[in-house]
Formats: sequence, C-alpha cells, structure tokens
Amino acid sequence: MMNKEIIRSERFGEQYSLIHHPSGLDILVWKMDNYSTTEALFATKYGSINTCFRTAKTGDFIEVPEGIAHYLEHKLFENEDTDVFDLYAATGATGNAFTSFDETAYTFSTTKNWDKALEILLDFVQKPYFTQENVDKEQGIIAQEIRMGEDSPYRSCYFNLLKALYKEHPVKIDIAGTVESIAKITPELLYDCYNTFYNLHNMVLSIAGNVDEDKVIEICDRLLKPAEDPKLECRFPDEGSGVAQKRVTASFPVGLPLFDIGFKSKPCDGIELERRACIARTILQLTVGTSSRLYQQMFEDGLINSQFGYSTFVSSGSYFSCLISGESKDPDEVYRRILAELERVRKEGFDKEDFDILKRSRYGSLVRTLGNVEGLADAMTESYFNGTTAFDDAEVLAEMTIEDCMAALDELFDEDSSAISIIEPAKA
Amino acid sequence: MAVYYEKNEIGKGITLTRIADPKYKSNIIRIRFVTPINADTQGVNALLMSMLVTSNSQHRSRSELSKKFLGLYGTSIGAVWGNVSDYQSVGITISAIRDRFTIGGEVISEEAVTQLLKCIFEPDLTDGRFNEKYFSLRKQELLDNIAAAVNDKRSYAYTKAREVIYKGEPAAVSDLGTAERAAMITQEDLLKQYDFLLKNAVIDIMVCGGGEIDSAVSLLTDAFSKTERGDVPKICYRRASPVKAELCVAEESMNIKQSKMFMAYKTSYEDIYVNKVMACMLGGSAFSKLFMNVREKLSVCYYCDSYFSDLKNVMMIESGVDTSNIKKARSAIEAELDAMRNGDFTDDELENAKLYICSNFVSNYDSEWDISGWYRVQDTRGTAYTPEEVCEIVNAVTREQVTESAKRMTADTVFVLKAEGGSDDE
Repeated sequence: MMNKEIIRSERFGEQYSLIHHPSGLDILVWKMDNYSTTEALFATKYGSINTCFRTAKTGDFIEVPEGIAHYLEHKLFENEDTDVFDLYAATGATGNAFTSFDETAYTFSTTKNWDKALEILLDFVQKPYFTQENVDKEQGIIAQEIRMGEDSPYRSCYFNLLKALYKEHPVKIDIAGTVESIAKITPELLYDCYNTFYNLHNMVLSIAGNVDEDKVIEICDRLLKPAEDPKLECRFPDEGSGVAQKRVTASFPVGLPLFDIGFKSKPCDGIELERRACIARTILQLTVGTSSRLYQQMFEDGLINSQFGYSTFVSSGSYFSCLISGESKDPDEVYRRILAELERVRKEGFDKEDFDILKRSRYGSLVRTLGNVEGLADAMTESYFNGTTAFDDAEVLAEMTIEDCMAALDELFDEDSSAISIIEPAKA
Repeated sequence: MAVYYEKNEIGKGITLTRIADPKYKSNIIRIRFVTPINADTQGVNALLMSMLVTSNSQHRSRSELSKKFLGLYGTSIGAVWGNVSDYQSVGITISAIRDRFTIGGEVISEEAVTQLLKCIFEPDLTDGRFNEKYFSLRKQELLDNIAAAVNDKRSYAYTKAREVIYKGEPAAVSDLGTAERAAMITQEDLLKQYDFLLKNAVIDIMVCGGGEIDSAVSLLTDAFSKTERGDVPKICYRRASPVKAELCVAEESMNIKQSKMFMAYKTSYEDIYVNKVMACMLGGSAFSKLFMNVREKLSVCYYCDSYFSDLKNVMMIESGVDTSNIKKARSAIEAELDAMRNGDFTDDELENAKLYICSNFVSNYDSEWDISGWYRVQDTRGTAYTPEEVCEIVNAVTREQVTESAKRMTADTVFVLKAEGGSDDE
C-alpha cells in the first residue's frame, strides 16, 4: 500500500514529497519549477564503515574486508550484457556514483530524457553481476585509485587525523581500503554485501529538479522488485572518549606544512544530530571563523592563510567530530592557540552581537541551497538517512540560543578527545 | 528556457553584462580586469586583488570587513585570478541573497555593492601605501600559494605541461608568476598596478541573479563610468598555439606513486564545435573511447580524459598511470585517436556525444554561477549564443567533419610527471 507525506517549510514556502512505496523503498521528490536539470540519487545506507553486520539470515555477525562497499560500487556498473555508461549515453544523462563512510549512491544528472535515465538507474542497481573474472579485473583499477590517493598530502593528512582520533571505529580506515584488503574480495562476498545492504528497506530514491512525481511512481511501480525487510543490524566497536594518538606526522613534497585538527565527541542521531551539528558549526565559526578575534590574531601573526577552514564530520548514530584544517609554518602553535581560545570562551562566553550576525549569515546560506538542484537531492537523502527532513536545519538554527552553544562547548571541544595531524615538507 | 541577457559598454573598454532569471535565489557580481599576460606583473595583480578584499577605507581590518559581509546575510567576497589564453584575468566576486529572501524584506544589495565599490575605489591606503601589515601577510601568502602548487600533483603536472606546450607564448607563464618575482614585489609595484588596472585594463562587469538589483547596478555604472581611462588593449582571446616542428617529449621526476601524463595535440581546424564534439567522443565522457577502452578494458590508466581548448586550438589528453604502463597507455591513446581519424566510430557514438554535450550546456541555466560562466566563455569567442543556439550548431556536426577534425590534430607535446623509482620499460 503506497502512502505519501508532504514535507513542507512554512519559513521558505517550499515542499517535497516522501512516498512510501509498497516495494519497501521510500521515494523523495522535490519538483522545482522552471529548472532544466533533473538530479537523482539511488542510495543505500552502506559505506566503508559497515564492515561488521548481521541479518535474520546470517544469524551471527560477520566481518568483511575493508574497502568492499567502494569495490561493490565500481562493480555494479557492469551488467551481464552491457555497460551502464553505454545505456546512459543514449539518454544524454551523466551517470556517476560515490561511496562515503556511511553511504553509497548512484546518481544521474540530465536535462533530457530523465524518465529513461531513471529506468536505467533503477534497473542496473537492482541487477548485480559479479564473476571471478570481472572482480579480478577491477583490482587493478582500484589499486590505481588507492595509489592516486596516496599521492595527495591533503588526503593523507585527513586520514592520519581520523586514525589518531579513532581508536577502534572503522571510520579510521580509508574508504577505498588498502591494496591488501581489496585482494581478499571475492564475488561471493560482494553478493553477500549486496544482498544485505542493497535491500530496498535500506535504500532511498531521491529526485530533485525538473521531474514529474506521477511519472516517477509509474516507473518505480514497474521496475522496483519488492523485498522483505532483512532486519539488518550493523555493529561498531565501542569507541569511548580519548584518542588513539594526540599528534601524528608524515612528510610529503609540499610547500608549507599542512594540518588537520579534530575534536571527537559522542555520536547521536535524528533531530539531536541536527541540533548538535548546528551548534558545533556555530561554535567553530564564532571561535575560528574569519570574523573571529582568534582568526584575526593568527592571520596577522602570519600563522594561517586563506586555506584555513573548519567543518563538522558526522554520521547518524556513528561518529561526530569537529575538524579544523589549513596550512601553517607552525601547526602546533595553531593548535595551542585554538585550545587557549576555547578556554577563554569557556570563561568569558560568546559575544551576543557576533552570535546574531552569524545566525543571519547561516540563514543566507540556507536560502542559497534552495536554488541548488544537486544540493537539494543530496540534502533530502542525507536527512532521510538521519531520520529528519531537509528543512530541520533551518528550524534548529532559528531556535538555537547562545546558551545552547555555551552548554555544548565542553562536550564538543574536549582537549582530551582532540588530536592533530601534520604533513611536513619532505627534505630534498 | 531563457534568461534576460544584456551587455552594454559603460566606459572606454568597460562593459556591464546583466543576466537575470527570477528563479535564482541570489545575485552575483563579478568584476574582472583583463590584461595581456606579463610575467613581471602576474603575481602583483593577484596580490593586489587579495589586498583589495582584505580591508577597505571603512573597514580597516580583515575581521571587520568579514563581519560586515557576514551581517549582510553571509554575502561572500573573494578575489579571483587566472590565465585565459594569452591574457590574465583578475578580479573580485561577491554573492548575496536577494533582498526578497531576507527576514522581513531587509534591503542588503545596495550595501553589499557599496562595500564592493569601496574595496575597489577606496582601498585601505595610508599616505599612499597599502596597509603595511596586510601587504606583508598577503605577499607571504602569495609565496605560500606558489610553493603549494606542488601539493596537488595533477594540477602541478598541468602547470608544468603548459610550460612545455606553450613554450615561447604568453600562456606558458603560470597564473601567479615565479616565487623569485613574488619575493621582490614592493608597495610601489602594487600601487602602480592598481592605477594601471583601473586605467588601462579591459574591465568586464557581470551582474547575474534573480533580481532586486537595479539600484546596485546604478551604483556600479555610476562608479565605473566616472573612472579616468587611458589606452586599453584590444583583446582577442582566440590565439592558436603554433605546432612545434617536432614532437616534444619532456618529463620531470617526483616522489609520487602514480605518474601523470599530458599529451597535447594542436590543430588548424577552425570549427571549435566540431573539435569539441570530436574531443568529447574521444575522451570527454564515461562512454568515450578513452574511458571505455583505455581505462575500462585495458585498465592501464585510472583516469584518461580529453578536452578541447578552443582559445588556443589545443586538444589535451591527460591520464593518471602507473609508471610501468606509460608506454602502453600512450600507444593505446594514440590508437583511439587513430580510430577517430579513420572514422572508426558508430553513428550512435556521434549522436550520444552530441546529446551529452547539449544536456550539459542546457544545465547551465540552473545556476547563476554557471550561466554567468557560460556567457563569459561566449564573450571570449566574441559571440553571445544561448545554450540552445550552441546545441543547434553541435547537432549539425557530421561524421565527416569529426573525422577531419581528428585527422588535423597534430601531436605536439608529451609531458610526464613521473613517479620516481618506477620503470616504463615494460
């Protein structure tokens, strides 16, 4: 039985549909008038961190090699009889896919024949074809991708930080795995993971832009293969507080030293994740943003440059960190000053005027995203997997107070749960 | 689809282009100063732009100016620089949400443009010198940026390849110039270039967005039309790069895991849209010959793309490849280009490439950034075609033209940034 919810924002005068399809798949459709592009994501809540799981069928928890989610993404593009890119070619659509820590998504973007592209997307993602021969062939391509990543000092700095922050959690492992781990991947393991995670109950279809909702449903009715809920359960090691290593360094041919600083805190999900992420971003902007006093001091002391930035690194129910990155002649001094600034804020609090300016600025950013077709398809998917809606961040922002930020400071920015990763210039 | 498009000359060598579509949520303003590439001033011009967005006569610190723009609903301001053919284009860009989307309909567009104009016409000068502290910091940042070019191996390899491909041409000069020149930049250099750009550069102003911008446009027009102007160069972006007498093969070694190979082909075939269709069929998509055969079937590259630069009449093929596979990859790439020369492609391949190109062109309508970029590119070609008009041209391309385009591509340069320790003797 199909039923539909309208997700509406009175604040922005925008809405999209959430359709519960009888096949077990939930479908999100955001029609944008006067836009040419259609963006679609067929996504599963399955990323590189899902290496230990069980279902009603497996009984016990099983472990699979690191990098298998990404490997599976590569292999799914190969049908038994044809190549998926060849099929897309006849529609004008650009097909693609990505694997992150907690999600794998197959996408297309097009201004023509979106309905035909959608048929291709739904068909090939539901039609795996793995053989020893095609699995072996992919080893070379993925090994090259891993090696290309190893040439990036930014990527190394980032993953070294995750290894330093996380003692046990699989988020510390590179999404693509290692040349050694992918060598253990077999067609049977790929089918095991596919049958577990590519179940429609664990997936979502998200479409934004130039799209007709009735037509989407008609195509889904025709092509989706109903599935039983596999009762999937993923297990993650108990991470606890504290870090694996406070400081990690590596050397690369770079100009200035690079750094990533991280503050790990406890994971959460749902609206609590939206709320904490909003607070974390606000604290980051108030303490190290371009208008902050610390930024001004570090900039004027020549400690940071325009590469300096910050972000939140979160996944529903799995991990939550605040990250600060950049280039500096003295990354350790940057780290020391950030810790000192957080200490000062704990004692003196945030400036009310700065807080109000910042809320307005964030509101402006949210307005901008409403005109971004790809961004909206992403936002619907991400919020869906978190059990929230694409409009919740605006509501959370409106309700956030300066007191909320002060109250969260200790938990989100605990020095004992922080670490720094540095890439030093290699000596000639 | 259609957008409002209008381009006017508002002063000597100063144009103002307006693009509007009510569906856009924000307005962007791009002001660019275009001059012939000059190795001596590349870094100075880039440094000047970063100085202008750091502070102005009203907000004399970076955090103050930043706070001002944050208060305007997060209006962003940034400096841009880069080479376009044999010219350097530097400038400032701002992006602000439309007044109708502010809480309570607050008008922010005028103030955003007022601050932008202050950055340009009323910079943070004391006794005829730019803010000394920021001068020293931004100069160091310029040096850091030049040194950091090595961090991203693909773009570093591209910069080095360009030096070989365009040897003897202005386009061989890097976007920021050399570290040696950057280290020597003085306050006097900066002030001289500031006056020079306002007086002698071609100035290209683009306002693109959803609307509520009329009064801001009046402010811009008023400010720029009053600017005292001197001699302004005539810009002709299309300057074909001459083919070298002999194929140039060059390499540089680095401590990296994956080698990067650039193969440049030059042509006298003038129809840029035919050349673009050909380059797309060869390696411009995930269903192109290079992707399907060299990457997927032979697995000798992780990436292998081709694209055509119409301003220099150069087709570039770039690949990421294991050192042991360099020769194999080069032969495989050449074989695919030969296939194009011999007409060894299906009508479907041709039609699919056209469909792919046109779908991407039309998608430019959905973003104020993309559509302004579209018309900027049109401008470099001396045209103002809409995406649909270009699609008509593309759809008229024949297989004979594609074959001819491939035949006229002459191998000019192969540059490899080679992983140290690897061997390509296999």
